[in-house]
Amino acid sequence: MTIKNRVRFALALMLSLVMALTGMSLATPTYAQDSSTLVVGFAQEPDSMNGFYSAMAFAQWANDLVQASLYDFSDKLEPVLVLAAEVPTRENGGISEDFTEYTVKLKPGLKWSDGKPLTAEDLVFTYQMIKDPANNMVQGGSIRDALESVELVDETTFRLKFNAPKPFPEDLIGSPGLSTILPAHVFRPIYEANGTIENAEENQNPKVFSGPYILREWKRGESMLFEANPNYVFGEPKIKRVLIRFFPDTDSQYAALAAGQLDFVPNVSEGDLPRVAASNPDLKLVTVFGGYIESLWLNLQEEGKGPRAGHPALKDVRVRRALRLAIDRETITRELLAGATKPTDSIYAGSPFENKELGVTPYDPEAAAALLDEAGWVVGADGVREKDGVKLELRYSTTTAGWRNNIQAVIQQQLAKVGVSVILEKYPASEYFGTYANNGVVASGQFDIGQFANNTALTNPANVTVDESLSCAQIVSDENPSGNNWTGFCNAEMDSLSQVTKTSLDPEERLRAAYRIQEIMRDEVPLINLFPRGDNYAYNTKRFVGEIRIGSGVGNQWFDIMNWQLR
Amino acid sequence: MTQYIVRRVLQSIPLLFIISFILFNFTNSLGDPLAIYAESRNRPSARDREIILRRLGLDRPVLEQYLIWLVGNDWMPPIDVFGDGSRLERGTRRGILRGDLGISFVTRRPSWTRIEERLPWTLVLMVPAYVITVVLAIGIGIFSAVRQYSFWDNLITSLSFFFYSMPIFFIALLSIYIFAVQFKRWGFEPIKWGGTGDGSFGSLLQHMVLPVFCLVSIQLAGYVRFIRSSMLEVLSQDYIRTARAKGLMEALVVRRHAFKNAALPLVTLIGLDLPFLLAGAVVTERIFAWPGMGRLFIESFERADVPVMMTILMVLSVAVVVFQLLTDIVYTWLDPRIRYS
Repeated sequence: MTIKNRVRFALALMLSLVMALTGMSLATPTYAQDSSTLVVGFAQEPDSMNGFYSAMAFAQWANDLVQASLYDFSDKLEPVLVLAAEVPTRENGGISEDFTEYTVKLKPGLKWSDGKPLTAEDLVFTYQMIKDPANNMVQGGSIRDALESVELVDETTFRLKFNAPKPFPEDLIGSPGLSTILPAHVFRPIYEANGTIENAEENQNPKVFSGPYILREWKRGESMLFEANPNYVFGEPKIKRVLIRFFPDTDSQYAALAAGQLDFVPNVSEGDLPRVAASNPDLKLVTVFGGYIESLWLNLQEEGKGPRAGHPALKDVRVRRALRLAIDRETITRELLAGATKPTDSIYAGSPFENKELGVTPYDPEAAAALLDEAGWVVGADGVREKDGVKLELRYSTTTAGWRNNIQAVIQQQLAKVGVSVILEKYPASEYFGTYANNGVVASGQFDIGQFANNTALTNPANVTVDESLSCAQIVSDENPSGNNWTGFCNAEMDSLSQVTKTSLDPEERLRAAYRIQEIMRDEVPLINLFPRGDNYAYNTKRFVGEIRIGSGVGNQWFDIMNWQLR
Repeated sequence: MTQYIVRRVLQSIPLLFIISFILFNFTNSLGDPLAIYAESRNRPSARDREIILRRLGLDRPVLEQYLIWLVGNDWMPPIDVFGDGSRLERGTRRGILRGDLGISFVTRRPSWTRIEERLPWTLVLMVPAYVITVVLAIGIGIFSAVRQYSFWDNLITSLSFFFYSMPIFFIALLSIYIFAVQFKRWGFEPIKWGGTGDGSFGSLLQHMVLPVFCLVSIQLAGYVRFIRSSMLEVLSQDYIRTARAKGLMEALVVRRHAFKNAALPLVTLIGLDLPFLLAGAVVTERIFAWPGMGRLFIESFERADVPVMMTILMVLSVAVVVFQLLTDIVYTWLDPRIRYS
């Protein structure tokens, strides 16, 4: 063979390889962006289609399309009955006098997408699966810890018994607490054969569904195609197909939105709202309660317990208050976040438990400077405050998210005006939020100020941030490496109030406790709240008939999807 | 020759062990698979996270984790899941030496499954882009070498540097902006992009246009410069002057005498580059939402999914070793003067 022939041969070989591979990858159903297909853009691909095995927002969103819960919350945080016939209360006999027993009734005649009846047996099975540690579930921990037993009463009724009074049914049977119900006729044989459902193929490629849609096809790395479920409890949705396409790059996602290739996008970051709005006049932006508050966490850890202690100045509450006064949060939300949100001091912001009388600390650099002077941190020759030879120089870190880095830069300038020097750092999230054992940046105390979000409580006053991330018992240390409290903040009164919000059976008492917690946090400043973060959606008004209702970040964004209509 | 090949294969075994050890330490220090829970809505409790950690074996020293990755943990003492001895579970991993590449932390599926899903699409994008790059580069490189310092040579050289120094994300976003967004506004049919199309061959080709264009435009320059310089070197050789003196046609001199000799270093370059086609193109795949290996690697990196990262890196390492060997063999085939002993 001459060289020419050899080269020709090699090229022909490559070409046939490509053709063969193409043939292998093709042969899939087609779709078009028409009046029966809604095209949604996701920035990330779900990791699991079994809600119990994921902590990812995008997986939750994809799961909510195919999952019906007992009840959801609407955009106005009102309960919406889905599979349950009523929300159990003490008044209607669904909850026992001492709040340790729930009796839940399902609507009659419910069906899975394959036509099999959906009964209380499926729910009993689901609770049994949550209870069995062999299943190694990521979700359902609070149910697992509280549940004593579950029993079948009749075809549409089941009863849960708890080891302590449980005043908040939404955490245990409602959408945030239990958003996945497992089809017993699918999972029971797997469980009986393997002793666990953890590695079931159905977690990745489910076939039986209870929600408004069924998953028809999942092209990994590319898209998920859903079709309307004719057996859905509210009837078959008007939109026949939903196609979720994955756009990992936000710029190209926005370009697809601008070009009209995407109808609906669930994760527009606050900082990008203005340019998304400007990119296409047909786009409408909607912000709903997200359930997060963006905060500056302060490192108050003590030396010698394991994690690195923060800057000594932070131990002085006057310094912490001064930092809050010196940051112009109003300007940040207005200029960097398009006014989509407002500053807050309350960890309950946006919920019915927010103590609005406490107000918001105003921007007051003079007061901040005075407080710092009073605390003994006086301006040195280089303009940076110091005390006993220690400079007031703080390490301020966050993740690599662009909008966070913009906020960092602005806060650095604002703090410089009152003589506080700040060193900016950013880390990939997988490094930043790593565990203490793995030397995670925040957990091991390698920060003075850390910017990240905390969960807020929207449906009940038991606040997970207060209960875990700021409680004395959860302080991370060599003895308690899995502790959730990375700040080292400890306040005995707040801990006991947190117990009241969780376990008191008197709603008034719970509310008073929540109000007092907010007062303590305003005075003690364990963290500086910046602003509540909404879930920002963009959708193309040309594609929808009328306005669409989108659920809050607490419940299910698709709670009303059966009424959405395309044109 | 057979002896040579056998020796090279044997040599590569300890090499792959060393590579895998270094890479394992490297991927393990890249982040924490449990970090995802920090800002999640329903965060697992501290106790649940400890259980997850023990089940994944992440509470063990890295050396032990490497051993488990190699030979599995089904023969080891059972895992104390709750940390108090109340629940012991036997390990289920068999290790890479027994054909088990591990389970993805993220999807709980075998990591090989995740690579299998992406590999065909990676090659569908990368191979055509590479073939077009090399073919164009040969044409342009020879053209500009033969007309050294002419207007066309200068133009090609400047353009080469222009594209060579352009970041890929910029070309990619610019091309989306022009050919997809603005084309629509100007009333043209926009070029489809984002993913691999609706399943038909025509649609796939359409969706390949922009990513292939971007890949070619940034790779092309390097190859053009390479071919131009190796052609220039050959063209100044005595045997080229002899060929011309014989009265051969210039086209024949260039094609048969010059290019054939200038092509040898090109084979080395291609041999080095081919295995990396498997790696995909991180930025291009991200921007054009192409389901390739580059994206899989970055997504695994973001979630510190060590088993998937390790599988990708080991596939690449093996490919590099194999292609090096193949290049050496092809050399003896192309140039009979070369002999290995």
